[in-house]
Amino acid sequence: MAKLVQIGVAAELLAQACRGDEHAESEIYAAVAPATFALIRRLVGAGTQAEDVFQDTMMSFYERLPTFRGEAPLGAWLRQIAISKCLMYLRSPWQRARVQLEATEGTDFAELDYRSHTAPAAECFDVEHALASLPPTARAVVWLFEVEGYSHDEIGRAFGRTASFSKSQLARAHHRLRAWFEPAVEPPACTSI
Amino acid sequence: MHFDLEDSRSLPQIVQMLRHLPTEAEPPIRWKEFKRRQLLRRTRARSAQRRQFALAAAVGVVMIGTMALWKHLPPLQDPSAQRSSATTLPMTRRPVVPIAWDEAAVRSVASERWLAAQPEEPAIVRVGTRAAVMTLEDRIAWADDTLTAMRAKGGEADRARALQYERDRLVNSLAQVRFAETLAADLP
Repeated sequence: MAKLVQIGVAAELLAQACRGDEHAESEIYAAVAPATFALIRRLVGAGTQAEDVFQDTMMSFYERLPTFRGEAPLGAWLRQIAISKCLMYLRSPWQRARVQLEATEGTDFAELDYRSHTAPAAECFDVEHALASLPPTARAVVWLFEVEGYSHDEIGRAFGRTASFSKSQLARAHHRLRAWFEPAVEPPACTSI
Repeated sequence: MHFDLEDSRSLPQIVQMLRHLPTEAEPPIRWKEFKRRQLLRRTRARSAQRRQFALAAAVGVVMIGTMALWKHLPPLQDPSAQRSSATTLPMTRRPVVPIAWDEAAVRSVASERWLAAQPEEPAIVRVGTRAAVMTLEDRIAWADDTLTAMRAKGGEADRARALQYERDRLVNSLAQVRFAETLAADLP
């Protein structure tokens, strides 16, 4: 399985797609769509939001394709578009309101107290679930820093904040991830005297 | 992908696991569906853009109309001069006929009665006509205030008469705009 940043396509295919050849466009789609969607799902979370962001990303990708200069692999260029779309979504007032609403109603899985699971199922230890349990911003920061190799400065800029924002989000995310994998400690039983 | 509980507390290991998560996922839509949605969105975007242009054009036309109406409202002057200039509002295409002072007053009373019978707000509030209505209402209110002050002071009968004439014309104009609003609201 290739990472999005490593995916490249033949120059001839790219040229055909730039000329509007639908067959070439569909081949490029087949090559880049799985990795793009995987990245978007990591940043935005699963669900219809990820599908919407994916659609937006791919539309922008095909619109801007004629401007691609080939200085980096096509996947790296597409990754920039995808990350930018994801961050735009995460920064949107609608998304913030949705997160707040979920937090208020207590329905968000991410906001649940993960330590309170007395008998966690085996899949709860899955790193996927651990990642999904993070709040959207923290999840995006941890993924961009640890996996995509972004620096704190770059993340801060991408969110329209400072590097300190990225550092604090990452520290909190690490804390949560560690806590997720720690089994809940049962309080010692009281001994009657 | 699961951790062994014994060794699961190390952060570097968690990070390592994150890096080994699958980098591909089945896209939610196939190419054909993507193209269909792309076309749909483009069509929607174009029609939304056209609607915005049409709305902007309509607002512009209404504003120009309101300004033209405002410019054609005669300045405050002697009713005899009004009669000689023989100007009417451009809202109607009827031949311009000088309105006699008494006739204007009678029409004003009738217009006021009709206006009083109308609801405060029309069924459909349109920004352009609403602006014209508010402007006319403001001018009528100003004329009322000035007339009251003049009557309290006494004298200046000619000026009061001119002002009363101006007020009657404003009331008639207001009635015409409200009548147009009523007609527009009844249109399908």
